[in-house]
Parts: sequence; C-alpha cells; structure tokens
Amino acid sequence: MHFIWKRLIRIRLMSAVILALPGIFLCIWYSSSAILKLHSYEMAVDEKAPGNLEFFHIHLYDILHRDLRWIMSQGDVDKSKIETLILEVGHGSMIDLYGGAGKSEDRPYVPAKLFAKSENKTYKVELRLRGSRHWHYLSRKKTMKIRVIDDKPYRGHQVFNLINQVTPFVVGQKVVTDTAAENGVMVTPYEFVRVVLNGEDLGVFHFQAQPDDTLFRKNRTMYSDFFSGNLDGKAETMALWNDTTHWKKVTSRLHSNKHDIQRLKEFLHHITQSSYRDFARYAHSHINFDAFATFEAIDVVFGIEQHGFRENQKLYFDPYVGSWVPVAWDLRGFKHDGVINRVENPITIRLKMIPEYRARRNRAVWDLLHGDASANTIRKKAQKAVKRIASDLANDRLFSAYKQLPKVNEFAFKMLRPMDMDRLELVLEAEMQQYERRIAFLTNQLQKSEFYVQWGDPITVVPPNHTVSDVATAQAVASEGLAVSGPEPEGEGTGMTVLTPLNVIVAGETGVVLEEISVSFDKDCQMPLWRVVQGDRMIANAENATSATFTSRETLYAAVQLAERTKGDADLNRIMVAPVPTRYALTLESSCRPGNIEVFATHEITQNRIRAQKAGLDLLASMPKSYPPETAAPTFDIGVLTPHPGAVIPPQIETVQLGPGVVEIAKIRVFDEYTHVTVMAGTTFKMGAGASLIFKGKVIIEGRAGNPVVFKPSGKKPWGGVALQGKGTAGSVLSHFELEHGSNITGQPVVYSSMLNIHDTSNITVSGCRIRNNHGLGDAFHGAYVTNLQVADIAVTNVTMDAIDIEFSTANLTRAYVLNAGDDGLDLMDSKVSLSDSVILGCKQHGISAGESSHLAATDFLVAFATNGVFGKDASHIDIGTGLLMKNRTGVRVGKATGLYGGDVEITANTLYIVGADTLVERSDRKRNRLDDGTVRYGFVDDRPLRHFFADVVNIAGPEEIDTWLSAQEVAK
Amino acid sequence: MKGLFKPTPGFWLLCATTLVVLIFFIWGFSSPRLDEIWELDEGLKTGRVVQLSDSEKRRFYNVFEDYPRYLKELSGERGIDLMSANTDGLSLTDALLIIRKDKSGTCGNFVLDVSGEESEFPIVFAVRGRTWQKDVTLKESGRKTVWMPKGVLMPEFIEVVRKNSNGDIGNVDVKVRFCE
Repeated sequence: MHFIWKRLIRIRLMSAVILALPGIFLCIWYSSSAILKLHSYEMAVDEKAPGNLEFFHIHLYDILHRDLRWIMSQGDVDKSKIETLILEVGHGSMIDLYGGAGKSEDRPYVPAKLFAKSENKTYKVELRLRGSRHWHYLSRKKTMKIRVIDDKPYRGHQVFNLINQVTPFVVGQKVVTDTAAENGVMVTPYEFVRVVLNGEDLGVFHFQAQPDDTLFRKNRTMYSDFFSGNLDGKAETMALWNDTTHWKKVTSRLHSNKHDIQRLKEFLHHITQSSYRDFARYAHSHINFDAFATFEAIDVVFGIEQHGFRENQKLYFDPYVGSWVPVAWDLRGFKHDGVINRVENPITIRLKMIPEYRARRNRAVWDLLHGDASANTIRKKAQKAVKRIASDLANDRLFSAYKQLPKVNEFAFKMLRPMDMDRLELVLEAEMQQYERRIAFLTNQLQKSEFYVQWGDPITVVPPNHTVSDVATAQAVASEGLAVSGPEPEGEGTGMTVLTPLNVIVAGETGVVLEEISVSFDKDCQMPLWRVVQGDRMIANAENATSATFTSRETLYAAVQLAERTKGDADLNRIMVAPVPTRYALTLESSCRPGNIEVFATHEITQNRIRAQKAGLDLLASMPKSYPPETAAPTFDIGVLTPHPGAVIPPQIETVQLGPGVVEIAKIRVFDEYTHVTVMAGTTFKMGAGASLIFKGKVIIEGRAGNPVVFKPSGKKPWGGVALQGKGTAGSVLSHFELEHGSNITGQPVVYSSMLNIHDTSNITVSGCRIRNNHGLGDAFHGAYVTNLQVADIAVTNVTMDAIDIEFSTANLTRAYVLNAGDDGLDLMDSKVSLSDSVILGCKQHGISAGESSHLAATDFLVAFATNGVFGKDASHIDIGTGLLMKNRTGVRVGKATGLYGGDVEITANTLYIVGADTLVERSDRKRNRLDDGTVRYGFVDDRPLRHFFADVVNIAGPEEIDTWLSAQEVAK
Repeated sequence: MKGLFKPTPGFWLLCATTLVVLIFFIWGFSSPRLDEIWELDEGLKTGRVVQLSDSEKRRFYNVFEDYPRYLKELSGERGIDLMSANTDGLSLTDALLIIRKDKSGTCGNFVLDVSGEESEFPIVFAVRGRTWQKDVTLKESGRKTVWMPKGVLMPEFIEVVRKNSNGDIGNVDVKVRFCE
C-alpha cells in the first residue's frame, strides 16, 4: 500500500495524464451524449431549453441510468410473452428508411422481411417511418408503418403500424380500445408486440392495424365505403368539413366506385349546410345514433381529445343499413379537466343539437360509468394488461415515456425519459385516481336534476267558459315569463275561471319526463276543478283536489348553445355544447286561484323521481329571449343557439291495410317505421317499372295457400323489389306470397341487391314464398343483419345470381326448393344457419356455399347439377346430418383460408351420399382427398338414412326413382 | 526523506481529475430537482406521499419561483387547489395538502365539509400555512369555512391535519370546497 502511495505521489506528469484520460474521456463522452440528446430534442420540438444546467443534468441522469439499466437487464427476446416480430432490412435500405425521420411526407418505403414468431412464418413487407412527433423518430425505437406484400396478409392485416407509444400509462390505449370494442364500437385491433430490427431488440411496440377489410369482417359488417379525414397543420380548421379535399376513400364496396365520393359530399353538406330540421331528418335516417353515441361516450368517459375538428375522423357507410358509423381511431385518453367533452367536432356538435341523440349519448355514458368503464373494472383491466406485458417491459431497454417531469413548461412535459416498472406502478395509480375523479365528475353531471318551475299571477276570466284567446293570453304571459294580471270578463260555464301561466324549465344535460303536478288552493275553495294545458292540448287532468298525472309521457330537454369552454386544456378547441335553461310554457286552468304548485318528473337517465325547484331570477334572466327557426342553418361559432327542442313525444303507430284486390304501385313507396302495414290475402300488387316497396315498420302479409299475395309487373318492364328495412320491422310475418319479374331496388342509400330484401332486423317469419324469373344481375332473396330469420316452404326458380343469400344473420331454412340459379343456391357469409328438407338444383356455381366463418347445419337435402355441391371456405363449419349430392362436377370442395378468418374450414357429415360427381371431394390445400370424419358413400348401397328425404321431401319411393324425379325437374342445361 | 513525499504535478493532476470525474458522476447520478418534484407530485396524487417535509416544500417553492406556470397548473383557475390525493375534493389521505397561489387573495377561504360518527366530534383541525397557523373546530358533521390571511406575498402550502390524532384522521370523511 505504502509502495503504491509512494508511486502515486511521485507520478510523472505524462503517466498521470495517461491514467486520467479514461475518466476524462468518460466525462466528455457522457457530457457530449447529454448535450447531443438535448440538442436533438430542441431541434425536434423547435424550442430552446431554459438557459441553465437543469435540462442538461436531466439528460445526463437519464443516459447514465439507461446505461446502467442496459448493463443490468437481460433483454431476452426468447422469454417474451407477447408476439415477437423480427424485421430484417438491408443496410442500404436502413439509410433510406432513416432518411424519412421527422418528415411529414415523402417518407420512403423500403423492402424488408418480417418473421412472425407465433406463426413461424416469414412475410415479404415494405416499411417506412411513421409519425412526425419527436417520440416517433428521435429514439432508436421508431414508429413504423408496415405493408405486407404477400397475398396472405399478417393476421388478416395488409397494413399495420408498430407504434412507439410513449404515454407513461402504457396500457391506457389498450384498455380503452378493448372497452370500446366490448361496447360495439368499430375499432381496429390493438395489441402489444416485441420488435427486433436487424438483430437489435427494440422492445415493446404497440401494434395497431389500419382499418381495412378485416375491420369490417371482424365487426360483422359488410365491406363497404370507408373514408378517413385529417388536416395538415397549415389548413384552416373548417377545411376538413367544407369539402372532400382532405378526405381519403380507404375502401370501397365496389371496385367500380372506388373514386366515388358523392356519399361523403352529401354527408358533409348536411353537417355544414343543412338547417336544423333537414339535418335532424337526415340524421335519423342515415346516421347510426347508437354507434355515434357509444363512440362519443367512450371519448367522454375516458377524456379523449383525439377527435376534434382536424383529425382522426373515420367514417364507414353500412350498405345494408344505409347509415354512417364512426370508426374509432387513436383512443389515447385518461385525462380529466372538468368538462364533459374535452373536444368537439362538427359531427358531435350537430348531433348534440338533436335532443334524442343527446339522450342516447348520456345513456351510453351512464351505462359505461356503471358497467364496463366503472372505476373498479378499468383498474382491473389495466392491472391485467400490465401483468401481461410486465416481463417484456422490464426487459425493454428502450422503454421510455413523456410526462415524467412536472408541467413546468411544454418542453419538460413532452420530454422523453426512461421508464421503469416502479414508475409505471406510480403512473398507473395516479392515472387511476384521476380516472376515479373523472367518473365522479361525470356521474355528478348526469345525476344533476336541473328542473325548475315558475308561475305567474293568475288571470281570472269571467265568464268561465273562456275562449282560446284567453288561454293564448295566459300562455303569452307565460312565454314572456312575466306575472301580469289579466282582464276579468263576465259570464259562466265550465267552472274553470282562473288561468295561471305556468313555466316548466329544464336546464341540465339530461331530459326529464313529466310525471305529476300538485296544486294547493285556498281553504275556502270547495272541490276545486283544474287541469293543465299546453297550447290546445290538455296534458294533465286533476284526479283529485290536489294532484294530477301528466297524460302523455313527454320528455323535456334543454336547448343547447355553442359556448366557449373556459375550463380545461387551452390547446384543445375551445368550443363546447352547453345546455341553456329552456322554458316550456303551460297553463293551469282552475276554478280557484292556486296557492302553491309542485311539479314532479322522472330523471331520464337515473330514473329518479325529481321535484322541480322554484326558478330564481338569475335562471329566468339567463333564458334565451328567442330561438332560431327550424329552417335556419347553424354555424360552428360561439353563441349559436338551437331552436326550442319542443317536447319529444313518443311516436304513435299508424296502421295501414293494403288490399285485397289490385294495388297499383307506380314508383318506390316507403312506409316509415311508425307505420304498420297489413297486406290482405288475395292482394295483387301491379308494380310499375322499377317500382318497389320498402317497409321500415312491421309488416304482415296475410296470404293463404289458395289465395296468395302477388307482386308482378304492371307492364313489360321489370319492377324493383320488396324490402323490410330496420329494427322497426322486427316481428314481421310474411305468408304465402309470390314475386316475379322483379329485379332489385335502386336509387336508395341502402344496397338492395335482391327481389326480396330483409335487413337489420329480427324475428322475421317467411313462409309459402315463391320467387321466380328475376331480371338484371341480382339475387332473389337477401337477408343481412337478421337475427332469427325463419324461412319455411320457399321456392326460388330461374334467377340470375344467388337464389338465397344470407349474410351476418342467424336463420332456419326448411323446405327450400331452388331451381336454376345463375350463381349459388344458398350463399352464406358470417352466418349461423340450419337447413333441412331442401332441394337445390341447377346452380352455376355452388349448390351450398358457406364462407366467412359461417356455421351451417344441414340435413336431409339434395344438391344436384351444380359446379360444386357443397363449398366451404374461410374458417366455416358445415355439419351435415344426411345429405345427397348428385351429378355435381365436384361433390364437396374445401376452399382455401384467406387469412382474414382464423382457423380451418371444417366439413363433417354423418352420412353423405356423393353420386355421379367428376370429383368427389376436393381440398384446395391438396393435403387430403377426403372429409374430416363421418361416412361418405358413393352409391345407394344402404339408403336407410335417406328414407325420410325420399318419402317426405321429394315424394318418391326410393333411390331407384331419383333419376326420373330429377329429369322431371326443369333444370337448365 | 521529506522531499521524497513531495507530490509531483502529475499527482496533483491525477487527484484533480479523479475528483472532477467523481463529482461529475455523483452529480450525474443524483436525482435532478424536477425529477424529485415529479415523483413527489405523483406521490401526493396517489396518496403514497401524505405530507411534505420542510425541505421538500422548499424545493417546491424554488421550482415555483423558477417556473411560475407549474404553480398555475397546480393551483388551477381559482389559484387554490387540493394537492393531496382526493376524488372530487373528498380527501383520500389522513392529511390534506392545499396549494395556494400568491395572488389568490380574492378567494381567501376554503370549506371543510366533514362527516363522521357522532363519537368522533368535536374534531379539531390544525391548519398551517407558510407563516400562519390556526385551529378549526367542528362540533358536529357539517361545513366549516376556513379563512386564510389575505394578500399572500408568496405561494404557500396549507396543511390540514387532525390535532392530537397521531396523524390519523379517524372515521371521518373530509371534503374540501373552494371559493364558495
């Protein structure tokens, strides 16, 4: 020791310099690294750090700790519990790839190979950098957009993003996305994956699929027109809404209309130009209130700010419902700033101007707060999500996040800093507590009962048989909110001698349903008579001396006004939709002067009974003096007020009877959802060229076997079709009817591809139906989005495309007879169907086709003279009890899986007879030339399983007569 | 012999660089001020930190001085807000920590809304600001307005703790309302 000390103390200058160099080098290395990191961050955010050592120290601290963590962590990709994607990019391509860093456009795609560990499969892909915010490109972990070039996409996705998500609450978006999906919001898949790029483990990324074909299929909807709108930084805020320039049509139902944006133009026109009345009409028909309400409720509950005027607008048009549906994108949330909507956009603003929409939005928020998004549920979901990726995050050397400094300025707040599990735990707790605060705030907002009553001085009218003008006087007084004594004319009559102007005022977010009114009178008033009127309607009649029940259950809402948001994040748009105290002017007619008046109502959301408070002068003064007319078109400026909402009265059902006899239909006729139609037996509809019938309410066709209802053309030109559209048709029964020489329905927002169309409904019964000889390229029978469709005794003959096409539905078909279909006999898409006692003859394509994850249980059926007797594809399951396939080119064909649906095709049979086929069973994967299990018979050696079919379905003695029976059918050659 | 242990310039150089390197790394590994403040802030929000020590308060005051925006963030539009863990003003911790901006003289009060079992009352809260302190007594469940000195010159933390309770607030709920 002494020796060393002696050497040290006498060390020569040069030796000392050499010994000191590593330390100096380390100091220089770390200092310059910190300076470079700070400088590149300054460049990226175009802001200078405050001129002191504070931020240098933070960067130095972070770099030192990151390196220490780097040394300590194992970074073992093999132990990952989540999907691992391994990317290989050539050296030259990496230079091109990184050349796109920080750019908002012209980021080059480079070729790469992607190996998906879970599938043990390599894909050819192209990738580019994505995102212009600094966290997307500044660190080694860069956000990427991947495009799969192979025919078979990765998990059904042709394009997806690998995002370096840097919010400290790393599982937040996953939790929101899952909750949105559970509540029926159309949302793209969102997962965690581990990414390795050219051998370097980049840690955990967020996998987010682009909206494409898979999105629609996974949401059990038809592939259709889908638009995406975003504004760049320079564009004027309303530019996204004034025209379609900034919108992109991402997918199209038909290849031929992939550039057709007329539908979007119409939508934007209604959003920006339509009057209050026209927009309400359009919205009721063509905007899916429930879907938008749930989507907005998700934004509200989680405090999401990503769907403002400028960004992330994604809209899907459902062709079989004829309405717009939002697609959720970018669900970063978990913020609370004391307002209900943290941002608004023109769609949410226009919709909230419609009281019924507001009611649904509030209901959706309430349901979330007390169900899937309650504080406890979300806490559990978050903990579960963290647990799932905990080991991967712990080993993620590049795990970083912003918001890890106090909000001293934006520079500090948005700075990326290393993250670890201890900090994640702290952040999780803080976010959950903030979320609990938001839940409490929203619950309080929705629970509030801002319901008031105010009455003026009674006007005594004599004679008591007062006139309408007297009532009008009282109501005018009421509408002015003033208490004025009126004239006292002379006379006698009903005994109602006193008119009292009565104002009921609604001021809150939620509506109220008027329930009861109680009135006290002076003691010397014997047996008082009284009632409440609104205009010329009596809405409450006294049942006893003091109280009356409102006869119509009217829901009263406040009008709304666009107001400036004073609370909350200043960076977000400042507009908000706020309720304004809104008066409903009533008149109390009584035989004596009233004393005290109390009004009771049901809170629309909580269903609590609430008592109206007496309106104060401040409230009365804050009520609008006048409202714009329904024909005015609003702008999106602060101060814009909606018309008086009026009482929303439940609609009355009107019943219409058609027939018997001849009913001429010259053009398209639509019966709305509040019109129930009964068609009498023996009715013949003579349909003009292209004429169609669309029923949106319940319809009963009362045809009988010998006296059917007939739809046929009035001249030589084909007519259109018949449609049952929407939930209002639920429970319809169509019996014994015939449709011939029709085509399909055109010129409607909804796609009606068949002569008979049943869409978006439930519990429909069809029996004794005959459809024949359609014109044009259309199907005969089309069911889409139908729950519990019961079809019995249906015959479809000589049709140009599919005979029976069922999509996204559950159905039972029995005694179906199909003869000569230009395409498939029975075509299924994502449906659950049973088929029995049926015959399908002469189909140019498949006798039975089950695709897109359909489940078909079929028994006692015959398919003959088709290209393929039974065809299954895309993870469909076909369970055959007893089936007979005769004289088809291929008996059973098992198609390829396209990758859009997980799982194999399964076709099983108890007993399947395949007779006279060129190929018995054909599998596209060519691995096996047989069915998975069951018995396949190639002749009628043992025909016992077919006895019921021969005897009861085709009415023959046995297999020896089947050829004769078949030749008697008029199968087209 | 004496000259034998006379340090050479090389030795001094070595000492100086070792010292510099040590200081550099000790400083580098020490928590930056803003990092500590962030952890304290998150700790308060979550209830992991219930009370601040005097040195921690001083650190906050220093940061408020250098970054007035942070103080504005914490104290909100009213210039006064609850900083300790709470749900809509309902305290989740045994002690309450309120932050008050220097210019919040216009709203010189806050309300303690206390509810609990009768046996818990009377309750005495010690309310302590930067340069003042007072006791607030509640004889039964209800609200009590706490008036603070007006014209505060500097931002301050206000602590509200139940007196003689060893830091335990007992079986009572305390909700804080501001500027009512």
